[in-house]
Amino acid sequence: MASEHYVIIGNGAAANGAADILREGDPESRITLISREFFPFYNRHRLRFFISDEVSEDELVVRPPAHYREQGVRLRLGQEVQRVDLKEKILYLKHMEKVHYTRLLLCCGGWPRIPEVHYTYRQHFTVLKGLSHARAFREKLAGIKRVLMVGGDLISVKMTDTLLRMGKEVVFMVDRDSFWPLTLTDEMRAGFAERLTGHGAEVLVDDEITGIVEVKSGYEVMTRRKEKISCGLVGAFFGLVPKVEFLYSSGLDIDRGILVDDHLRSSDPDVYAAGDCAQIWNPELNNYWVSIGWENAGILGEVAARNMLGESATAGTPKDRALDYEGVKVNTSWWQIYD
Amino acid sequence: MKKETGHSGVGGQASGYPFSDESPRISEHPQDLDYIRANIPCQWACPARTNIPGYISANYGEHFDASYLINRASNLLPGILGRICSRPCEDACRHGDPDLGEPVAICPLKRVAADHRLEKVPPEAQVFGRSGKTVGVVGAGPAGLAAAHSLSVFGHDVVVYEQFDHAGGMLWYGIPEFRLPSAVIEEEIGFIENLGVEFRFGERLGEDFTVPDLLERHDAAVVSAGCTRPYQLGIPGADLKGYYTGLDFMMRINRGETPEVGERIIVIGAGFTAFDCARSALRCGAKDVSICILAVEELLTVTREEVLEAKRENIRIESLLQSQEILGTDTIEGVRFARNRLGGVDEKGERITTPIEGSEFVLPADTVIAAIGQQPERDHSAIGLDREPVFDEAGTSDVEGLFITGDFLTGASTVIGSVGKAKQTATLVDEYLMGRTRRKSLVMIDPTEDTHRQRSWDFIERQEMPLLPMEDRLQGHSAEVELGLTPEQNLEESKRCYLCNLKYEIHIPDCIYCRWCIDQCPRECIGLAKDVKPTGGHLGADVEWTERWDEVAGIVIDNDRCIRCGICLRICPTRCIYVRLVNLVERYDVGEEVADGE
Repeated sequence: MASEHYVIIGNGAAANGAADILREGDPESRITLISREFFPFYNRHRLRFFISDEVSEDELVVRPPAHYREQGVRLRLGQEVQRVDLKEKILYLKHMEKVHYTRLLLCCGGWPRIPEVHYTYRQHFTVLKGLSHARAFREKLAGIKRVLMVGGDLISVKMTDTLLRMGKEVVFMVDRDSFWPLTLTDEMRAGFAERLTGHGAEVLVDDEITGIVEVKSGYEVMTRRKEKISCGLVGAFFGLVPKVEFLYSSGLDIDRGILVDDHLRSSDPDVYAAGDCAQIWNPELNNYWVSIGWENAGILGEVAARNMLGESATAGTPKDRALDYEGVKVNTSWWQIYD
Repeated sequence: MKKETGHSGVGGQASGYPFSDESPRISEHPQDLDYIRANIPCQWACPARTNIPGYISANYGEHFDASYLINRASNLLPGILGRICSRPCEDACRHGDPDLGEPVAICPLKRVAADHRLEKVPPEAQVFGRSGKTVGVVGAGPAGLAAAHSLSVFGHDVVVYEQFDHAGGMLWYGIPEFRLPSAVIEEEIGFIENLGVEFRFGERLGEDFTVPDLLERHDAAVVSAGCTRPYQLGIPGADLKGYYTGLDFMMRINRGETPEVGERIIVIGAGFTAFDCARSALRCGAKDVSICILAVEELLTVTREEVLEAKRENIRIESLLQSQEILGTDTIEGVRFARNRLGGVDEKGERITTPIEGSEFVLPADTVIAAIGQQPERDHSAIGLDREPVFDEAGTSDVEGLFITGDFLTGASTVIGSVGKAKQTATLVDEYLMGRTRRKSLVMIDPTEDTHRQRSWDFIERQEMPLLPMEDRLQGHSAEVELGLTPEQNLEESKRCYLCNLKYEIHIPDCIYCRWCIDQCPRECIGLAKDVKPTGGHLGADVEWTERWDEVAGIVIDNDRCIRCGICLRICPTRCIYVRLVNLVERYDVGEEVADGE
């Protein structure tokens, strides 16, 4: 086992959960984490508190670099994998370095999703996934009074609370298709709208953007119902899509995410995937599913790591988890709010 | 509009071109053609070998007439293909390599030339006198039109036999008006008619005439009857009311009918026809449209823009689905699918999909459109032959005087693929009739004093196609969705082209090995060579690279990797870097003289 080199692409909950299990199960192995971000493992769900200046960047950190040194895990920050050669088991990094692996775990996460119907406006949208987005969000918020939130995913409803607490006016345009890959029923949507309104947001339903113009004070957003909304920022919250483009040339089986079996093993026996980037076959659902959320990612990272060590762990049957926004429950057993 | 010079006024190359003695203007050496393959990937990827850097340069100069003619010399239908081409060139474009951004919008630039040209009727090069030979062409689709055009330019009298009442084939009957307006088709077919090509409509091979009839009437016959027999799903329920094949559905719409559709439509298929059917169904009044595909979105062969527009129109793409049964009694109630898993790759290079046992489920629907492709109707007895003729890849048969081409030869392909193949076949027909090859692809090599580009242009983002607003789209079938790039966008997009037809070379005897070019090169495409062996042509060389200065024989530019930014040329203190313009062109051999094909 000493010759194993486990390489994990990603540095979120799934990656770190996996690294812990791998180190525990194979103390002599080499473990490398490669992350595009320059910042150490941080709590993405607290980014809204960083935006509202309630916590500092340092307070977001879950694990400082010293932790990895102690664990004998090589942490490579600010490095991007551009290509994977499955046959030779080589990762090609953007800075023209090659990294060999014996077993690879893909925890490359997701990217803010912009639905095609809104694609034209993407340059006007502010998104929130990582720390760099949070920095931009925070900077743009300074000096503006009104924010238009479009979509309606897990982060957006909490972010709306934060914005209202910061004294911002919030207009929330609820999109039926926003909790992708789930579709809200009319009843759920009405429930969300009612509660958002109760918190002080102005909620628009059954409307959609037909144009956005950048003006000196921010944006003027036209809607199908012929409303003109003036705001300083347009926040787009439509969930995440797996960040897998760099794998297209590898030959791995990929649909929306990396296709893996119930053991989180991909079409290559030495490559596993966990977290937001994995599209998992669930024998009970008889369907592929993308698991989203911090806790799910951590669990899946551990499952993948156990299988990389030779065990036979399964991602299992989704438990009865639900997105619960003040009593409005979306039966999304693979989703969970984390704070 | 203020134009910027590509040369940027910085540096420049020395006069007194050092390669002039050894560089002929024209080459047909196989190694030079191979250089084009490796170094001008867009042009090589185009089945019609369109001179893409050439027409984009013309676009930059706003010489739209010239750009249109450069296009037309190769692909015949710039206005049409500028709208509906499958764009293999863009897949090959070096600007789309990792870290270099997105491919140049080659296809939309083609349309710009067609939209903004001043000369509405292109002059036809009457290269050859009348030959006295006649050729019968079966089918007035893209391949038949391309073959007829080429054969007419060669001086032959051409008669096109078409079973329907309009020329254009799938262009006319298979593609919806909102993607390809009929006026554009009529205009470009009109140019072919202007050459004197005779069209006989309502004449169907196998019913109104046979191949022996054709060979009796003409000196040669070209069968380009396309792919008109739809593949069937082969599952129960395909006889229920509400079931269409994709081709039938599109032909009804393009004949002015409104096929009856329900509210929930399932389109099974993954090609352009499937997307056309789905988007047309919306315009017929459907409320909920899904395209169900066997494999995954990433493997779709339709353009990214087509997928994007379908999704913008709220069409869902459901991946990894294998249809098993269309359910219903008199009318369709749904489709039973199984989930697929991806497997290996089959002998055609396509991904294998396998249904997962026990994964069956039902998607409700009231209309099902199966758009899973078409095949040629090549039953030899039906076309009057007593045996199955044998064809080679280029379309030459073992029946004297008979050629086949386009999709009838290759199976269902693309419009540009059909045009490219038909041109190739027409050259062989002419060779058969005249006893020598009168059209050739040649490499033209010219020194140039200008880089034609600025480094800053590499960072311009791909221009987005202006689109018809969503609220104006679905009222009928005729409102064109893509509106064409504006002249301002044309200028910006033209600048993005790397102009891979420029070849950068270091004249080693003048190089002082200062390394400036290596240090400044943004693409690491200049390196140390231990040995450089000419490959036999005028352009290529086998380079043995090294990293050791003590064995360097010269500094060499790897043109396969170079993005033609011009920095090396501008920074070189001894002006030992030179540029040559390398173009793949078609030329007609009229005997003693060789005439330009464009």
